Amino acid sequence: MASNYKMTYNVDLVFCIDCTGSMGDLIDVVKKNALNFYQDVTTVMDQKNKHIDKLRVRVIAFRDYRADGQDAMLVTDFFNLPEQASDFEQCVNSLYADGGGDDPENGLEALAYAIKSKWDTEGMKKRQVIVVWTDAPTHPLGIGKESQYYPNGMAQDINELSQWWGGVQQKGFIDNNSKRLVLYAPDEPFWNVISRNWNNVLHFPSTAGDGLSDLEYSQIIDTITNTI
Amino acid sequence: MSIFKQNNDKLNAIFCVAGEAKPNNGEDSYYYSNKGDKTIVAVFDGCGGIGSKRYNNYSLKTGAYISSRAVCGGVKSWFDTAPDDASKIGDYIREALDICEKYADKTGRLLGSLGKSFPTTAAIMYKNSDKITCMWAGDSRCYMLDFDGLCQLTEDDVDSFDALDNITSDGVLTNVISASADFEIHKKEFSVNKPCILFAATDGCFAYFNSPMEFEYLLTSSLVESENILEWQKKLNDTIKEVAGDDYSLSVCVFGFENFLKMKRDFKNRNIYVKNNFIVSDDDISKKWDLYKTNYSRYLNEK
Repeated sequence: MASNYKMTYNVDLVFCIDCTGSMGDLIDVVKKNALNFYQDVTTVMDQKNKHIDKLRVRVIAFRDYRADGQDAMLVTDFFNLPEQASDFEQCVNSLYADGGGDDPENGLEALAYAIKSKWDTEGMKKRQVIVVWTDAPTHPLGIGKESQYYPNGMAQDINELSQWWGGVQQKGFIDNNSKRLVLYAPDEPFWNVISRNWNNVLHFPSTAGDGLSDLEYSQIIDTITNTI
Repeated sequence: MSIFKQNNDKLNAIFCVAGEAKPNNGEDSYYYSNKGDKTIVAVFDGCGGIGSKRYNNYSLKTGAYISSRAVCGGVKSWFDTAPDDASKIGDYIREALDICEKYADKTGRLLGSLGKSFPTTAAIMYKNSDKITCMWAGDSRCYMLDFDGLCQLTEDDVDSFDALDNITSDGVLTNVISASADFEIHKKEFSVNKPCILFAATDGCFAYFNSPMEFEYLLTSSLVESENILEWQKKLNDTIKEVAGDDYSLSVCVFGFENFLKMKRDFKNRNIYVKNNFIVSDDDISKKWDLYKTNYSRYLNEK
């Protein structure tokens, strides 16, 4: 007869963390927030009778291809939680702030990596959540292309990246019903372009989430966990 | 009012069952009323995802909580003053939202498309003599149950048009009432001159069943197992409460039956038919849904 009275969800989280030198004062707080984030999502979903069947987390640490070469982008596979919780914690704790060169960073490339994650397509109900922590605006896509470490097949510009994100009319690389993008980023290009134009986005204009109140944090977690 | 009045043509009973997932923080609201030939049942489901902002000067309640109640008040005013002009209902709703906005603190710093001011769904059924008007926005639904079975009268404002998909896929709402964005109140009119039960339901009532077939089976089972209207109301509430993982509101009105015992006897055949033909294991739901949905959707394609 009626279901088991608990909805089951497969949840994928991708954390994009700015690890450039200017993040020096904030990186430890961001690391702590990243480690708490998945636990907070789990707790709130459980309170809403939404049982998480499968939870995975992936980390993308980004800097600047022109200034940092091979250290510009650190990309992990998904960690299965809770089985690989200690590996995930070790990965996050190993991040450090360094490099970056000029003010804008390659944040859009990090977001592109995140959008093209190998999302879990099983299960009827899913959440596919990308969270970005940064204190800087982004370069336009393609800055640093001359570096041998710049990825092949990257979106050419913000318009193509917008198509990768998709919308109601056009499918992207991430499920339109399941996706959420949370930006802890300044109100500067191209974060503010994304905030204004993409669907399913929550943007806390700030330097990497600094100054976020408890009420605002609970609004973010509620928005991720509830149907929209 | 949930006493069954014998009345072959008109209203027999009207009531609501409702519950909160989190006490005192439920984001649903409901309304039902009757004046002579005019009857209304309505439900509202504040959208807790996009309306999760809490307002200091609304006792830290969410926009979703405030909105479902304010819009409910707007619909009540419409029913009290201009019920025969369905085109006016949007004005009453917008006025209610304007008041919410006027007194809301403007402290929120979160930007982006996922935050809307005072968002809520609505499903409203207004009956005047034989004419039924459904008005709705979002994924709350209007239903009719008669001896031919349950039928959904309103189309969900989500990406998919399929009622089973909309239960299972957690789709994104494409149209929702809010103070910060345009919205549409859809309208549809029907004529019904036979005994029927009309429901307005938030998704907490139907989305936790495996299929629309199971929802119908619950409705008719609780009816045929009851001895009077109050018992049916209680059974309905108990069953939905046990299943729902969310707030739920079901506003119900019953028309044109001779008496309760005859009504429940007359639904017995349908109840057995649904049980024997459509209550199946999870693996067979999709196949059975294909057979069931033509009848379930018989009013959906009417303009």
